[in-house]
Amino acid sequence: MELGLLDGFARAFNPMNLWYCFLGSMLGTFVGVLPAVGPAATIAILLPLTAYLNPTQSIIMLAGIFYGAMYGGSTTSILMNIPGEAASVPTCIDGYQMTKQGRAGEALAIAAIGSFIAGTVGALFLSFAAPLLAEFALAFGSPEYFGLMFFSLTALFSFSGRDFLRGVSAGLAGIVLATVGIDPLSGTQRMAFGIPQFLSGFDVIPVLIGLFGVAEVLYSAEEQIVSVYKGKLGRLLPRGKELTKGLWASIRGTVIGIITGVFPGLMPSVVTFIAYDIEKRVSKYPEKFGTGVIEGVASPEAANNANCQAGFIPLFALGIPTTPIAAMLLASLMIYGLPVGPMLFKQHGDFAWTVIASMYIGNVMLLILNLPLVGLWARLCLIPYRIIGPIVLGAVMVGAYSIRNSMFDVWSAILFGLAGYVMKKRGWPIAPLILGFILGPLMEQHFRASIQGSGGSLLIFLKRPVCAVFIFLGVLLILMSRKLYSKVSIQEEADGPK
Amino acid sequence: MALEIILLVMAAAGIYEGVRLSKSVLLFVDPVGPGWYLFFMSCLLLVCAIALLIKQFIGRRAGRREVGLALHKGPAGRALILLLLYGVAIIYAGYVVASAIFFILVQRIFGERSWIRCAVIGVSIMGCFYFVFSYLASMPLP
Repeated sequence: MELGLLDGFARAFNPMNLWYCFLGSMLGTFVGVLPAVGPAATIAILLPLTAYLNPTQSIIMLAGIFYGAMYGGSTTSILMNIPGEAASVPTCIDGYQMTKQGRAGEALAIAAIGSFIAGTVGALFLSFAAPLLAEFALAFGSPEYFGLMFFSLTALFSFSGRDFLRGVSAGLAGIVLATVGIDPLSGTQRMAFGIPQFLSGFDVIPVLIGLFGVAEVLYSAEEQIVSVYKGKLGRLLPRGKELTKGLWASIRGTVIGIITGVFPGLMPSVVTFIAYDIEKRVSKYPEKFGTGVIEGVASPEAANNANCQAGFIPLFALGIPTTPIAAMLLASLMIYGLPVGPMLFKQHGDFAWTVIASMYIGNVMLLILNLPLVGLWARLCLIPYRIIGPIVLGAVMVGAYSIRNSMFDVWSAILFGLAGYVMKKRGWPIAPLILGFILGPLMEQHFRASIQGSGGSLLIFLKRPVCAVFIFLGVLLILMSRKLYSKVSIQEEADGPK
Repeated sequence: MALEIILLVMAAAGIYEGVRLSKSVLLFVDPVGPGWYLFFMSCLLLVCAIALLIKQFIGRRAGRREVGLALHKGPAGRALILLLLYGVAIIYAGYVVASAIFFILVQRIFGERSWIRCAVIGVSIMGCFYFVFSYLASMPLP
């Protein structure tokens, strides 16, 4: 590991890699700050554009956007009481109260410091755990992979939010949609119905661009976000006891984020609530939470970043995404033809270690970008949506077309955009559809290979211990996540930003 | 109700294709072929879609109404129509002309009142896009 990571650092310090790391971190902070464009939409839009870069630079940049957005997401939550995404809701509770008390600078600073601690510890954990897990997974055959895919798909249940039936339906719709085209194993046409354009199937990028990019623009166009922060930030760094309390809360949040980050479905939106709840329970003054307590900002922010960083462990080691954004990163690995799963470290160790090393560098860059420049980021909230919206839509059209130089992909992106918009309006979760669309074909491939190898017996999945354990864990996670989500939903209703 | 019906149609299409592709009369005998997995997943989708429709029906009887889409009234619907027209216009008028018009009009939809500002910003965005994607990134434009 040590040599791999050192090699990774040597390559990550290459000027071009540093540039893309900086670009990703900055873009991530930028989209995190903007209340109307999330990291998922940004990554979806940039995916086709990064196809023109080399894989290392591309993934460094996309990963930078992912964790950069986690840093930036706190800005609007603290200053404007607008959570850029669900994960930032707990930050609003005490963060906005601190702003009202003239302590916005302190809240923003502790959020950045907490994010830095979480990001760096998360990257360190990733450096140790991912190669070990990958080494263990090298012995996996098709049945074990099927078990793993089943385990990953159980995330559908927690991605579903409150309406689990809708989430599962969306996931199944994703699985069925992914079968359109030519079956890769037998070469037979499926779900094409004689339409020539359907023979090549739906490319993952127009689907992502439509569901996240177009849908988000259409949805935000109706939201009319006009609230802009015009107050003063106050002192930038908390001092004395406040700083100590904030740091300890960050460490607790980091531990919670890392532990939960490796499991599919325990997304930042759930984990930040858990972190906030635990912080409240361990506090000597729980009654003060909600009135501008620094721990109420530090812990969820740290948990958010640690969770996001830990999500790279199953992604790199096993090829399973734990969040929708991780699913997009998995899709980008597939686009480059990189092996997803344990073979990534074996065959493309230089790539994996460079990306991991860039995360340490990215976290330092983000601390520098977020602490002294916090005033500048706050000003970015002033950019009107009527300018950002058209830029996003324009990039969507170019991005969808550029993958296969086909207008069919453009129409697909618009169609999925409409579907995503309707789903959002009706309260349907979009993430399960993406997860089903990406993992469905992999699960089918391993399912069929396992059955072929076992002579047609479905019992193979229970006879192989690792596979059986994954299936058992999947079922357990479904039961746990339902219980957890119902708790979080109740708390969200009680504590959410007004 | 529209989403539930779409799911129902998708499930029906999947079941039809699954049966068609299954080499054996008994579907359960051929899980290795291209039809079984599709058939199985589509059946699950069908069950979910029917359950959702029943839930919807019960909700309606209990007086619960869905959030109205009103695509024809809001900026989202207008932006979507403009996006579709933009796709068609690219084919006939080319990327530069179609994009300039699109960027101008979409700003109006998103709330910009001044036509002059729309024109200046719209043409500038188009110019930046053309420069960045076509010259810097050498990407094919629609």
